[in-house]
Amino acid sequence: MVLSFRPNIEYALACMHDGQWFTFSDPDNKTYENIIILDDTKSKPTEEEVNTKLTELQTAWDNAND
Amino acid sequence: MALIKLNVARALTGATPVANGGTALTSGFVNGGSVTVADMWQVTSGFVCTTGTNYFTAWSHTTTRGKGYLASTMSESSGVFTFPSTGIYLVQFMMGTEAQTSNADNFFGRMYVTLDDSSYEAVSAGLFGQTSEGNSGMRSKTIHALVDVTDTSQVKVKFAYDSASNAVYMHGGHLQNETAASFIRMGDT
Repeated sequence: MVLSFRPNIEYALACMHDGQWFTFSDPDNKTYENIIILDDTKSKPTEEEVNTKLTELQTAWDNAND
Repeated sequence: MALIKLNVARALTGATPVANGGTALTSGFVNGGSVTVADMWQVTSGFVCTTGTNYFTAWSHTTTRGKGYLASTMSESSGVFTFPSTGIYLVQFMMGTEAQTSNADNFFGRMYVTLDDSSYEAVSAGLFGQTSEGNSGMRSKTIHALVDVTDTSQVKVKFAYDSASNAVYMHGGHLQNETAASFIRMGDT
């Protein structure tokens, strides 16, 4: 993990699929509820899937940056 | 020494040479300045780039603190930007990227223009050596072009990246302009 910032929900989503497939309805409030799917070929992941991915990425980042 | 005051507005017609303290212009002044359109957009969210050439399709007006714009704004649909009026525009596009792994490779950001609302050609490119350097391979690049918008229904702009791998993260978001485009009308076509 060589990322310059601790992974957040936006990055976790970005790591699920390539390209501009999602955005948020409220850019000031990037939460699961505000996720908008832009790519018809992709579906909205469950909140559990997002949290699992985020935890995985944050753990890897924390281990690499301790 | 006697001082003679001249009513310049009544005494002069045409252009006053620069050597005589004038501007050499006969017209072009507009109250508030000659720039009549200024607008800025940003990529809505960060994302991992797909290999190959891909157009940016998700944009929103910038929401950064203190942002401003002038006059009519650009319109955008599926990544294609339409100008609000004819004129010569300075178009600038900045990109912020980050290599996720050391496998990231060369990366290009490009600006495309169409003159017929159909066929696009690249008019400006930014080249990144995106290989990670053992830490974050962060890059920021701005590209520019002057676009002569003679017909707002025909002359349009869009932006793309060309990535050699899917190991590059494109920064987006709203608090700061990290991947964003600005459009400034400089004058008449």
